[in-house]
Amino acid sequence: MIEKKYNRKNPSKKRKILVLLRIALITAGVIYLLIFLNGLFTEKEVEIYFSTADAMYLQAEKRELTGEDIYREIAAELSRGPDNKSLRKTIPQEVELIDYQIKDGLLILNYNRALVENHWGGSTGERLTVYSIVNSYTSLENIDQVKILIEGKEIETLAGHMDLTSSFVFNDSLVLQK
Amino acid sequence: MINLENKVFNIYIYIFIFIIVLILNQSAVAQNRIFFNGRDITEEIETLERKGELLIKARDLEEMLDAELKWQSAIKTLEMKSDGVKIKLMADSPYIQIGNKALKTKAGLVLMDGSAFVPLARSIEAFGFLLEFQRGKEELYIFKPETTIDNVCWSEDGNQLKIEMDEITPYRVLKGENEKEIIVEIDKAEIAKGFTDNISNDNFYLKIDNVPDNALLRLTVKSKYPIPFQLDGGVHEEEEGLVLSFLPQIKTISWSDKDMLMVEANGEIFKPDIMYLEEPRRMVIDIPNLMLGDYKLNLPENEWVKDVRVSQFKYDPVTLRIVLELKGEKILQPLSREKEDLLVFKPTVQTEINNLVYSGRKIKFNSTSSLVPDMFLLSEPPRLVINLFNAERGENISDSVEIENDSLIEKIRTARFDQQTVRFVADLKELTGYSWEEEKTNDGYSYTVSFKNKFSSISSKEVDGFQYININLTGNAEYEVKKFNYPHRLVVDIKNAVDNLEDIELPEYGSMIRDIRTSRFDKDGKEVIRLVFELNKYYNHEITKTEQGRRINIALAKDQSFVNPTRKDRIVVDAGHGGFDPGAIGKSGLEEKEVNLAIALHLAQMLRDSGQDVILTRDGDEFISLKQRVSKANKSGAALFVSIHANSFNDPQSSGTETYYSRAKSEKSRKLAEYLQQELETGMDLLGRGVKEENLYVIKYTQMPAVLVETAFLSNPHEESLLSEDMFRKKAARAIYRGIIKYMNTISKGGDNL
Repeated sequence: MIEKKYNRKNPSKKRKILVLLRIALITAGVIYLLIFLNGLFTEKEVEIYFSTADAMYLQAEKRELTGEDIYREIAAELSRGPDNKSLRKTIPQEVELIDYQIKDGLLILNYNRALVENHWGGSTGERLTVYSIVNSYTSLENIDQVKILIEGKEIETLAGHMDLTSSFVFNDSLVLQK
Repeated sequence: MINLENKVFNIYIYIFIFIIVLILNQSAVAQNRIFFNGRDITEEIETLERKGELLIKARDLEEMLDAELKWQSAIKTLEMKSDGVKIKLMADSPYIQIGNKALKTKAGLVLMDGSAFVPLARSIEAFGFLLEFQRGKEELYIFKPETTIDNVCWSEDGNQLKIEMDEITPYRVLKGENEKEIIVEIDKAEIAKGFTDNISNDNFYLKIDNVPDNALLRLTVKSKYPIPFQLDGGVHEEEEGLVLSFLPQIKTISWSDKDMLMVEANGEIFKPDIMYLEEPRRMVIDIPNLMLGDYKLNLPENEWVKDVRVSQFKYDPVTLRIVLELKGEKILQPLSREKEDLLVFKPTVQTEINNLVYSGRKIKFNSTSSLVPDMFLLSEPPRLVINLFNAERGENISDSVEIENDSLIEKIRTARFDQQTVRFVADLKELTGYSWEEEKTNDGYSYTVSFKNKFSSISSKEVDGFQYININLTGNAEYEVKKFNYPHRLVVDIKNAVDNLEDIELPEYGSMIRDIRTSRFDKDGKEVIRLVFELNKYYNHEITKTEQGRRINIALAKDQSFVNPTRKDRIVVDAGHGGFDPGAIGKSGLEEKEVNLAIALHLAQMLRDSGQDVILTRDGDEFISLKQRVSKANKSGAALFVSIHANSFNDPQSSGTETYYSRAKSEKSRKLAEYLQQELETGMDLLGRGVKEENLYVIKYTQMPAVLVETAFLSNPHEESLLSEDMFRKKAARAIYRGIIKYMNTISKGGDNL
């Protein structure tokens, strides 16, 4: 409404500038949309591993990701948890992936302290957390090994059982064989 | 043209703004999450909060439940029908009418922006749904019950209480306010429509509560008497549901025609503890694991027992106390057992002890009838205690026998320990081994206690690069091991021992030993027995001893590479977590570090009692890093490493017991894990999750065969309550203990090609 009034009062140069501005804005919007759509076309399918309800195995769920930052997206999907009701989440509350590095197939994941502090413990609990992360990332073609750091530092253990000074490879024996 | 363009652009702009507003709006709605049958429906429904109560838009509820909704605007009344249930709410009234009952809510029916909102919890519960809040009140779960309780009844013999249900959902059995009450909580359960109470009778009363906001059903069983239920091992899962097993109860106490007292129960009676007390003169019989119930007492007039009283003396551990009030100086003695559910006592007479003398390092005394003396050594000050039951001191036994100029004994004190027990205490100059003998004489029995060690066994075995020699004595020994050359021989000098080597079997010589012989000589006025092992060759040896010197172990190296022999009998027991690291924490707050330590201490005791040498990585509540645990184990040269933990996961239903080994280690670790897991599964009555392979820190870096045991799940409420019980902890320790012993026996036999 305001703009209509404005238009009526100033039918001259200013209107032309405004029109140009609008064209610029719309163009920007269209370009943004094109990039977004492009992103949709390059989206990637990944396997995210969750625990079975009895805490015996890991099972993968397929997820479509935008591929914009696939490492952060996998972390987010792990935190979001499974869609399948017979699966369970393996990542504690408030866990965030601070940053990550890739060196010759080794992915170094740097998590915040919540991964240690909010963890429910148990060898089983710890093992499922570690390997749901490791198996999800090592399902990517370019990742062979995963090492987990907490706030930039190597830790002895996550919950008192596993040796986190080592890096991990895909664990096949934990994956539910159908 | 410009005008037309303008209009088109304006429309673009409005759509743009509209989308932005929409996006902003969506991100703003993110408070309480509501889950319906496991699905997050927060975005699909409209809710609001009034007077602390959560309300849902009636139309959304209608859709959720596929219900029928009727709004009568004239009387401002809302009706909703689903699955045969009808609820009714009126504006400005806090009541919700369900069928023909009215329930008060806080907010009642709220009308806003032309929509009706109804209290979510009360309405949906009326339609048979269960509600559970989690994470404080942040998340609300609404679901249909997962199981129905059809029946609760007694088994035929009355020793079991059965809860029949469609499916077993998570449950916990809890102690009630007192021993006359037990509580069973069953998650996501509802009571069947045709449910009838088959439990309540003269002695029992069943109460069923729906616990609001927690989606669980609470069954409370109350009794006139303490309920003979033991949390540990008292509950089993069967196909039809849960079965609570009760401890045996006392059934009858009767005085038979043959003048015997019979105590009968509806199950096994364990070995009782017996003592005599005075004023009034009475015999106290404490029976473990037996409960009080409705029992019959049949006590006709007799010469021995005046009265009988029975009480539940203790609950942890469960102990039943029977007190017999005796007539005059009468006494009873237990007969040897023939049936496991029956205890029999027979009148007896006291035996008289006479002629207590000490000479030639021997204590001698006579008794009018046969005895089984109960003897044990105590240190600080060193002394030997001899208890003689159903006995009294004869006239020639004084309170104290002084012994002068003896290298062994200072004096012997005698006393009446209780009404029926005579106690001798020999004050020793140092702890010394002993043995005793009984001899029948013309007028009774003669007993001799000798203060001398005897050899009870000498054995030898060759394992890896060593030949081990184990010398076992009947008592603590003062000894020395020396090595002599030309020819190579090892000499063991034992003071104060008897040369009974002719009576025992000598071991095979093996590759290292050529001959074994003994000799005797005096040194500093003390007799010394010398045991000589003549050797074929010699490289090095190490001496280890356990059990305060009752056992002498010598490891002889078979080749030059010998440095530090593994202690075959040394076991590291590692209690997981500790100090600021509590480990897993159960729902009711039980911390893993406490459970682990308790089990580890029980295990250590059991191993030590059987002659093993145990090293604990921690024996208190302190933090030790995984690296420190490994380094302590590796320095000890122990033969085995067992780490004790309790498990946890992000789901309260996960349960069971499992054992880990590391593939980085020898096959022995896997074998050890298998033995332990087998014993845990049979001994603890929990789901067996099997043996698992994982490079866990402590089992990967320790140099000896190592396993990590996850006894049970602290995150499972039922297993948490088990882990809080000392009986269960002991049971877990015993299972681990049995596994270790079985493994060691296999290894020492060289079995399984390990």
